[in-house]
Amino acid sequence: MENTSSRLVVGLLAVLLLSSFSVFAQSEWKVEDAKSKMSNPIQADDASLKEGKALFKTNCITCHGDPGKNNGLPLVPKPSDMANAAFLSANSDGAVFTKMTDGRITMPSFKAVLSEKERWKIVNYIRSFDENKKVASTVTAVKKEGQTLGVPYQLSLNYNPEESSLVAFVRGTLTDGNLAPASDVEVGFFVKRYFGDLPIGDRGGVTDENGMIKAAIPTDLPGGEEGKALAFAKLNDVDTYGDVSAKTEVSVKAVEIINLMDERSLWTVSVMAPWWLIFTYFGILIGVWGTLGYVVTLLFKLKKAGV
Amino acid sequence: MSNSLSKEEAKSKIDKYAADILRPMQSHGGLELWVMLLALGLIMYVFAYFIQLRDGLGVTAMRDYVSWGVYISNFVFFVAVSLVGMLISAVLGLLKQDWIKPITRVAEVVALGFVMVAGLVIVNDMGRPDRLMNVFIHGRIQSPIVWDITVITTYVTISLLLFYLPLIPDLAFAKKRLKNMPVWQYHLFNILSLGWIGTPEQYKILHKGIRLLAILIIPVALAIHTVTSWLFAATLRPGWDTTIFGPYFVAGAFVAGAAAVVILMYILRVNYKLKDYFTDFHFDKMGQLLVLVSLVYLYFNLNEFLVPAYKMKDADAVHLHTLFSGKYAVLFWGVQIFGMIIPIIMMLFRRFRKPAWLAGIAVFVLIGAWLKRVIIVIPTLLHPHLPIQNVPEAFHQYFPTWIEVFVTLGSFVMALGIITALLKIFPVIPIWELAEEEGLTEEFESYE
Ligand code: HEC
Repeated sequence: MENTSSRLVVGLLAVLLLSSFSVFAQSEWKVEDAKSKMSNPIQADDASLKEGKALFKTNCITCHGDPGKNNGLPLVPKPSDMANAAFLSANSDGAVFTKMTDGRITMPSFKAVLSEKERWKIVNYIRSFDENKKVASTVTAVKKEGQTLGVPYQLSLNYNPEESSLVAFVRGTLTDGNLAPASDVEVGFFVKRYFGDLPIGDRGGVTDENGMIKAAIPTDLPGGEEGKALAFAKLNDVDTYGDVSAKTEVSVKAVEIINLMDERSLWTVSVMAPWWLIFTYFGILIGVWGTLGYVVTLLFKLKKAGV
Repeated sequence: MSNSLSKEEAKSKIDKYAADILRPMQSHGGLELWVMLLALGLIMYVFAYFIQLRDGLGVTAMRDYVSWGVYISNFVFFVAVSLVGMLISAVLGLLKQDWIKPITRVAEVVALGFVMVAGLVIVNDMGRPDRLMNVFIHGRIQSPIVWDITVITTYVTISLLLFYLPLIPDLAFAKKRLKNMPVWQYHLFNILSLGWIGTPEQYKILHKGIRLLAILIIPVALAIHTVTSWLFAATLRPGWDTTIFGPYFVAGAFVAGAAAVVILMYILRVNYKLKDYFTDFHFDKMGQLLVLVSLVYLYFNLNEFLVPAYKMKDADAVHLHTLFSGKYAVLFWGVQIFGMIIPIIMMLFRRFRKPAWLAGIAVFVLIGAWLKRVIIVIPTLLHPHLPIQNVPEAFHQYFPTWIEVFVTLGSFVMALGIITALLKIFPVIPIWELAEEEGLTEEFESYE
């Protein structure tokens, strides 16, 4: 008897445990073992990392934020920071690949958007943040004639009005104090707008071997009556390069600024009401109250007629 | 003047008018009780409104969704009822419907009582009534609200004049005839009668003034309720976004107003003993009028509900399903059936146009008319085109709090108070017009 009841208790506990586990499992995103064990068919070389990074920028950064900055969107559940050590150690390459492929609720499925190869390249890029398995590094410091390039970095911005383009030129400081062009530095281009900075030039990119990168300015951007706008470039990785930016005035499209409050309309103040409305309103008002005034004079006449 | 009646007969007829119509101004059977009832209602109103003023509109059930509750429904009802003044004294008068003469003043009194309080109902709906003047200071003539204020003020003025002008000969008459009138009343009548002695010249001027007002009040009255309907129709909302709202409101207003006049006529017939003036014939005629305007209103209802229901556009569908089979179905069908269809069918038969029957039917019609305004205002607000995100569940419902109930009852108390006062201080039937109709003007004026 005692045995049965203790078994019952154990059974109950087990059910409780299991059910709480299944609740827990809802927030934990598990990937089947078989899929988790898939290995990455794409070599994690410089080219694949670079492409993976670009793909990540266009497809994932809006929600997940910059890797390592923990600045993803405040969604529930939260999109993990892809450079988070706990995330990276809990998820094998196959798991990351599967999650990206299948999606879950707010996390979109990229099965139809990205090819399998592209997805694996993104996995390579994500894995490059894993301290334990660092395969290759995105080179940030360049060796030059035995010297190392480092801070402070400089950025100059050149505007070409004919082509309507910007060229950013990045230089770092050599050990001997001289400046040298820095390649593979990530630069972003923006135009200042009323409510924030508008990224232009395909969200930027990395400098070439001459330390340069070019970005086109969309010429149909409205730029006030003078057709001017303020463009600027900055080095995205503040931790490595410091807070470096440069700005310049550029020509965009001139537009006539229409102040909607300047014309006669239904939405302005009373004195700016449309003429037809003013005439109708006051016409009726004067007509009706004029007649009423006349009726009141009749009353005086009436009184006079009585004496 | 009178050809058919001898001098003696003419005199006795005028004497009868004087006795019948002036007597209720001095014998006040049951008045104390009625005034006490009104006073009680007024106290409740003041108490409820004080709390609302102190704590703000949060004490009402109005929230972000339903921001126009029973107050605005009630406002629409008050404006509607007041329209009857124009229908009876102007439209029927100008159409030379002579049977209407004894009823004109009753209609005008109803109009005055309701339209004067309508403005106050709006103030009751304001969270900060101390900022009322801003409407006048900063109001824009592009806004229907400003048009509404303009026409209502105008309508109050015309109604006052249209009440006052036909009163002048009767005031002079009552002044001469009524013994032991209170001094204030005598002075009031003396001043207001403007030295009326009934010369042909005076009659000419008076007729001219009344005729002018009767013509003027028609477009103004149409405007007042059309503009009130535009407060809704100028908004992009399922249930309000319709082109027939103006005439739909006007037709509904005639229904409510005619019903109110019938009820008041019946009360006066019994309480003031005016059987000889509000006769079976008058009730029969008023019954015909009520059934006519109700049929017009039924026709507008068909258009208003059947046409969108045939198309069932997405947003309309939500609204219409709430009315036809959803949360408001009982109210909707109750109003349509007991406030319109059954009364119409009954009133088509002569026997239901007898005074007591008709008054009973009119009560149903009037209650239906009030509830109809609730149906027009509130369900629409529950279904905005763009729902608010994460609203508390309570915002999806509306049921008035006791504060709203008492404040609304208070507006009725005030309207009834005005009507009572006017009907007690002044003669309820235009005696001179009856005399004129019978060719007894000379007799009417000749009493010393
Ligand atoms: C629309 C916003 C959005 C975009 C775009 C997006 N994600 Fe996500 N992602 C999420 C959300 C939200 C979650 C969390 C989902 C959950 O736990 O149910 C998530 C979860 C993940 C996870 C699992 C995280 C963990 O902790 O288990 C991975 C891996 C992932 N995303 C990769 C990517 C990649 C790679 C891309 C680009 C190809 C991408 N996501 C684009 C919103 C997004």
